[in-house]
Amino acid sequence: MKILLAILLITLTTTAFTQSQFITAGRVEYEKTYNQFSAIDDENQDEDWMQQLKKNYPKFVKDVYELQFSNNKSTFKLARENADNKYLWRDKPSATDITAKDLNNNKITVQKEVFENVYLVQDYMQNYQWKITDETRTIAGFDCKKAITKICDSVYVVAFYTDQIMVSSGPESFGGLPGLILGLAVPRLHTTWFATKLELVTPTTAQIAPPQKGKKANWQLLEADLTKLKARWGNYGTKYLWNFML
Amino acid sequence: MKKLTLLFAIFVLLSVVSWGQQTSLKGSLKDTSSNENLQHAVVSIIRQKDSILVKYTRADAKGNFEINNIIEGKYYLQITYPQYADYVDKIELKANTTKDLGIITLTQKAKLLEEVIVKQKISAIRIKGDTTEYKADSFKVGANANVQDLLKKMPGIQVNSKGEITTQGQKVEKILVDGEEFFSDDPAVVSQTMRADAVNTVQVFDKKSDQATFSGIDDGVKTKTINLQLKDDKKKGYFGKAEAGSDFNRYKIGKLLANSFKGKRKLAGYVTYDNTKFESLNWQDRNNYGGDLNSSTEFGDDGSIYFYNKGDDFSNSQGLPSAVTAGLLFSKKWNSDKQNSNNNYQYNNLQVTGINKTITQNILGGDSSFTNTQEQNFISNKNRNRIKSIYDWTIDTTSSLKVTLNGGITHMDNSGTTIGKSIREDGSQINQSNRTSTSISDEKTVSTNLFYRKRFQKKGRTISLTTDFSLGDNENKGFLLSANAYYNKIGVPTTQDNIDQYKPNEDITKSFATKIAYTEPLWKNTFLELNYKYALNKNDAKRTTFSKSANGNYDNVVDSLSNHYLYNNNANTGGFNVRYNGKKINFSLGTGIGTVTYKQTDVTTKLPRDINFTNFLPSVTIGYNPAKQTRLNVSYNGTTRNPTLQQIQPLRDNSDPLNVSIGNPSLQQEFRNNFNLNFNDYKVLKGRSIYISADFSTVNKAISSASSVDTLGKRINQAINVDGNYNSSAYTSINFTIFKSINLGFNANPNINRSVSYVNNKKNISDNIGVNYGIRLSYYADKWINFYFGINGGPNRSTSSINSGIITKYWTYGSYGNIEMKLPNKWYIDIDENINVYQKTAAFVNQKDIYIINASVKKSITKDENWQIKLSVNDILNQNQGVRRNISSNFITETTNQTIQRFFLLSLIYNFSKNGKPQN
Repeated sequence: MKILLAILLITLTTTAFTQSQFITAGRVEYEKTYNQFSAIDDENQDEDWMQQLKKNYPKFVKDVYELQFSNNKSTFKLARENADNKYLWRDKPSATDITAKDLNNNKITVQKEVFENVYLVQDYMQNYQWKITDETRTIAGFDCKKAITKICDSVYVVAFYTDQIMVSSGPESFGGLPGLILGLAVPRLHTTWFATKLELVTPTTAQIAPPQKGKKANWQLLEADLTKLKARWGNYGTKYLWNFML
Repeated sequence: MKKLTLLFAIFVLLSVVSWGQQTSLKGSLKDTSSNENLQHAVVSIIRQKDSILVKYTRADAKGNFEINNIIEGKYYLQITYPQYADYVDKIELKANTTKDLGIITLTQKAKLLEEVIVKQKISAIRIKGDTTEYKADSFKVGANANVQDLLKKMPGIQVNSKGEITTQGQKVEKILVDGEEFFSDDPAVVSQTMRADAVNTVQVFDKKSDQATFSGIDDGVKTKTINLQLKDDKKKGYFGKAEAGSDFNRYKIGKLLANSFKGKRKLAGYVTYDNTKFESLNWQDRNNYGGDLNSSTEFGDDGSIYFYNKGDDFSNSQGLPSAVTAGLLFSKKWNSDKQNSNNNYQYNNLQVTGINKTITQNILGGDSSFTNTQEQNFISNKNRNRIKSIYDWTIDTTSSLKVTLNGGITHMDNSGTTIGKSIREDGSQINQSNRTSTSISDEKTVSTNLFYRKRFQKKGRTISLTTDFSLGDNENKGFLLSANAYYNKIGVPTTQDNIDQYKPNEDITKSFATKIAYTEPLWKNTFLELNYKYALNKNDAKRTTFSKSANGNYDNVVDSLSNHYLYNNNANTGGFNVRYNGKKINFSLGTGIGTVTYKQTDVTTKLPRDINFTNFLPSVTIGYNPAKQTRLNVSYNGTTRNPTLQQIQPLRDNSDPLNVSIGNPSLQQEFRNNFNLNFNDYKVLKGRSIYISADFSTVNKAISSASSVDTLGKRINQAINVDGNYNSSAYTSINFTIFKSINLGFNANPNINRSVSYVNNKKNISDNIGVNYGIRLSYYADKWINFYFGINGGPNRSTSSINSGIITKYWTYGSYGNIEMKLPNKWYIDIDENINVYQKTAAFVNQKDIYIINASVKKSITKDENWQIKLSVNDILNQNQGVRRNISSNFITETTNQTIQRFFLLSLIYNFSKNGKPQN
């Protein structure tokens, strides 16, 4: 009897495996890690008060984001606030930002809090030129391939995607690869996103619906507004610009 | 509609044209061994020249695929399927054809692996747990070698031509730099971080999955990881500055500052001479060369930072200074920065000469009002040696200890002569006074602070302990020589008193305070803090006055001017507060209960006097953050203030015989209710900020003064407790970015104050009301020119109930500005202006308006900017004067101090450095 049960179980799980080998709906949790000490100017690094500051703050702040996807649509947003985090300059992540992609129509809707404004970017997906490499890595149990692209002309972005998850999406506004991005890194911003788990739950239509709130804009308009800031803040402004254009 | 049709036509045409250059690809996938039809396999077309992904598709249920609309060219065809080896082939696609690849077979990875067996033996360098550690410096690499070169040298680590790293037979998946994952893909980042000589140790270990690290449950997933620990600071070098300037007549400055560093050890020193200002080290100098013993930084539990800076007589005073300063700093960090020691020594010598003029309008009832004028010439010479030592120890991740030690020895010589007279409103003279006073004093102080904090495992549970202990001894020996004549209304001298006294005084102070605070999380975002504080202050004050006896020696004790007094206060305060940190709202409320005992003993008369006070010390703070850059804070707290020894010691102080003060031993503690409101709103994209801050406080039993003025114009002051005082003030400002880097700001700062005092036993209520309005324009773009300019002005009104007939009303105006220019050929120009204009009033007829303009021109005479010549002119219009007006109660005082006026200075500056530079 026991043997029979075991065989049944094995058969069931194998069937489940072949069925779930390609995933079209689910929820992925990403851990976003940011080295907040990188925001400190090099020349200030050794100042005494900065040393004191560093002692009182963690070097890395980690937040959990979630990507829900189904029917070639996805939404990406903060999953929960990390109460343990202590952010330098109180630079907390926005809890209302949401990025929704409609991959069949190559469309994206981003609700983004940029200082006092909330933008609603409605546009086509950015056309990333992905360079495919033969490097691989296992992330959250999936074999991933590495691909590299550039944003804002010079900022490199490294992505690890798996062809096993069929939605061509990823953290923030990234996508366009033959599968889901489970790992993303922007070295110049000292920020990475790595998937920690996948849940095979199909999101409701509401959960993957595009956001509605905010000042209507497109990529071009958003970039124009942020460029003003760059002019005023110099180096810091540039970093903000990159961050908001992710 | 027509337009649309046209557009459509163009679109069709365009697509037909592009179609002409495009091509298609099709094929079918099979795995012969398992007969799987490989549905969903990814078929990618990757451009050969740059590996850019051009198009991809997924195979259908039968394993067939087709990709259309590909631009002709050379590509890689990549086919991937989970658990299968990638299929990669070069293909060339020609225009207007459909390439049929036929059947492509994929192979499972498991099959491939069976044929390869990896075996390798590794000899470890140093093994810490499951970490292998290599010391980077033990492997010789070239000067500009990168990290890959370094890794290649390490036994057990292989780097292949593609830059892939393997160790112990396994591929290294992650490289961390000081714990942060490193990606070598962005050339800008690589050049910043990755030089072999910046690496301290290379650690190779199996990194547990993030989930396992987080949950502590090992899921068996491990990744080969290399962590490069960078050297703390590979630099060794020095920087410094030498500066000499003179007007070839009276004014001179000289500065020599140097800082040498080696890793985390710093040794700095400086010597300066300056007779153009009190503090010859500016903020930047103090920061770079460790000459800042007056400021300290503190960190709150919530991550807030507090800077404290208290100036002293050596950094700011009145008169014409001549200052020598020298200092040494030694600081060192070790044990991964866990231990930090910072030691500072400073020597100051300051010689000051000056003239102070004071005009006091005494508003009294009836016709007894009079005006007193005094002119004081003084000279002083002060020497001070002091040290400050800080030892900071991060004991472990949860606890830390900080010990601060301060000590100083100061020797002062002061002497001054004062000539004064008082004139009635009708112009007749009341009195004439001449006095000379000299004193020599020696002061020794030492204080320590100890701060310990521990965080517990439960989040939010902390305990902290802080203890202060200080000792002070001040010995002062003074002589007072004074002649005062008093006249009646027709100008005939009535009385004359002459004083010739010797006054040795000694004050010994001891204080001890300790505070313990415990924080416990109650529930989510809510914390309870319990605290207890004990403070003890002991004063032992000996004041003795000797007059000359017949033999010409100072050996007659003047009892009315001598006293030995012990004044101790002993305070216990216990309290609690509840803190809540919400998303948009945070608040803290609590109360303390404090008892304090004043123990006073008059050693001469053996008269003890004990008083007890008990107070509730409530505090409430509410913060509201509706948006990231918007914040509103409202708070209330109750605080107490103890009288100073001078206010309480029952003794006459006749150092100014026309202005005598007497201590009041029955003084009580004052209690202050403070209300505060703060609002700020910053619209970053718009470039607009609003800031409002308002304070209001009322004082119960405020420590104020009672004065009585007799017909001879002699004033006697005593501190007393009064009710009814309040202070209120507000600061409001709004700033706009009007164009690119040009900012325009407006501010309005009203204040209303009431102070109660007693004059000749009559209660006097003084009310002051004033507003200051301002406009400011600034431009800062870090280009060749930067400037700011502001003007302000406003009315002031002051009344005294004792003489309601007199209302003092006047306007003050001012302006400030600065312009900085960086011109070609390394010329730098800097001009600033400061204007103060007072409206003339009856009391201040001779008030001068002051227009100050300073300018400097600097030129770098070498390419590297190491040598610079600077010509500066201070106070071009020669109008500088230190003027202060004080309209507090029934006395309106104006003080004018002699200050440095116009001078020019030609200076030569030399900056030197090796491997380092000062911070800006």
